[in-house]
Amino acid sequence: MSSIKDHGISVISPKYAPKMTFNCSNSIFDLPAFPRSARPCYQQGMGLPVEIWLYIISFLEYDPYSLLACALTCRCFHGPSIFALRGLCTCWIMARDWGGPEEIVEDAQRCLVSAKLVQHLVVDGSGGGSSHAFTVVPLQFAKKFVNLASVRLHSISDARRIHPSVWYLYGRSFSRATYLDLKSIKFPSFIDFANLLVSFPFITSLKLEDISCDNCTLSPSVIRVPGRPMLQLQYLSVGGQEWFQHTFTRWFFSRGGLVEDTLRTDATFTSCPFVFRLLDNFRTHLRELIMCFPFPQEIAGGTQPVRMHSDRCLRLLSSDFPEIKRITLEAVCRVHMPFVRALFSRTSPTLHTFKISVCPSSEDHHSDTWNTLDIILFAWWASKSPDVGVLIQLHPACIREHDLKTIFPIMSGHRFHWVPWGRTEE
Amino acid sequence: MVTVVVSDGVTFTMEQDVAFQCGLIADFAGGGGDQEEPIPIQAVNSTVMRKVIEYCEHHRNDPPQPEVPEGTPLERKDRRGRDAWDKQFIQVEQELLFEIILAANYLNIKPLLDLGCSQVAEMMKGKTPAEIQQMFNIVNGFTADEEAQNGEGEEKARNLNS
Repeated sequence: MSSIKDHGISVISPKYAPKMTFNCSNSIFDLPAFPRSARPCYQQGMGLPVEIWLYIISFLEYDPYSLLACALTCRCFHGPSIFALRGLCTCWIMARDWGGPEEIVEDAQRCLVSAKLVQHLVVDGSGGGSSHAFTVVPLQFAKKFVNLASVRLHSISDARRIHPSVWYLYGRSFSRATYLDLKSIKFPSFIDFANLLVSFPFITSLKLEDISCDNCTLSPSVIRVPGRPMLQLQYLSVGGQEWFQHTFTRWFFSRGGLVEDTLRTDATFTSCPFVFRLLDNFRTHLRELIMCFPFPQEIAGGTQPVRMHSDRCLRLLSSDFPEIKRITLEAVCRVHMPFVRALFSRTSPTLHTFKISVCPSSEDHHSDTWNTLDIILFAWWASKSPDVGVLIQLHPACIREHDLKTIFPIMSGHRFHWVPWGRTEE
Repeated sequence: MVTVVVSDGVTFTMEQDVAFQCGLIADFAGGGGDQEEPIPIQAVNSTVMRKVIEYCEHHRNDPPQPEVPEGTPLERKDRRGRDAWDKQFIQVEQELLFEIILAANYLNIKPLLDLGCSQVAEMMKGKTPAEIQQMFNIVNGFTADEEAQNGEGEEKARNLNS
């Protein structure tokens, strides 16, 4: 079974009669997804080419009943109708589109017409003036979205103006959600963040990106925030300020953390040594590891934060990752080489992809060149392992990729690839 | 002035600002001067061409359509509004409607294509799958097993609509 986390959809593909099941136990969208190639799509006597019919279906995007009817009308309508329904299932609340409170209420009422359909709620305040929008949403939609699977709250610039109880209300209103994605939010204090998190009792996927708190202290009152520990977590991604991550990790484990064998999908860390405790906890089931090292130029006090925990990190990275399949190391420079080497000090039988993004380590370009060569040579050495593919990405400030290819023509092959900087797909 | 010849040999002459609403004719004419030679349009007959010219003449002074930015939520995507004249204009037999849509697609007249498609979408609204199949003479192509599964889906659709 493969999961598309962003949409909260699971696509189950048995040998016969594939079925698309939206990730909700009592979903009304338990519709069949027929294989496209089984019959020709063009229908007799329809009068219009299939492409135009598909364009016509796009005009039904606000009408779930008609889309459902279209999905069942004929084979070639099925896929596009289901696709449009999936889009309809997402309720977008964009703060920048709202002119005033009246418009918010009007917008909310329109969403409530199809409340049963909504599976994904996105509240995006990137346009500014977001506090009002974020406060209105749980009040308007409380308990209405009975099939809601995911909640995304993005870009709350003025979170201080939101009453603390509103955060708790989110979980109470959308308690069935299993996917929570918080991005670019600055909470007044960690306890507000904790209140929001514990109020979602069924979370299996948690994504935190660019989260920070004005007051990030871990007081006893924060630890005692009532609510269940996140024992069902299967997917975790943690980003944001380092102190936030540090506090989050301590808080997370103070509440019991997670049961080791539940976190079996993947885990992402956007930085830094503080999350190694998490890594230590579930490394035996980890399949993908993405580590983004902080750029040395961006760290106050040089490379101090990395060195503080280097012994422990090295010990941890040298230990076994028996199920690891892919390792991605972002922004690697010379100071991180011990960690890179530690990761390869023990071979992993399941590893098939190793990606390194190399960045400049200092203002000294001469030293950067040698640093880059050092990393490249190590990666090339790693690619000699018969089952591992190596992807290399060079920051433009480092030595030019063309020069390297000229100097080392041998550095190419089916297991050693160059990926242009900025591209995420290999 | 621009002259076109349609599939049944009828010749139409129209002013440039009317003709250039058709992307195809504008491309043929190259964007400048009067067109001496008649432009052959073999995929459209005279009946449909009259309707197309009628539409273009009515909308000759319309401002260009604003682009809808990518990523705009569905709820906010606003297609060109239909005025009373448009509604009256597109109230035609289904066969002619389909021909207008095909002509708009061929001649590259986006507003007319949108108008025709939205009219067909309107006709589909609130109909059951069987009614849609019957209305547009659609052969569904589902297997017997799939039909059985569709029955369950229709039940859910009815529940949703109730």
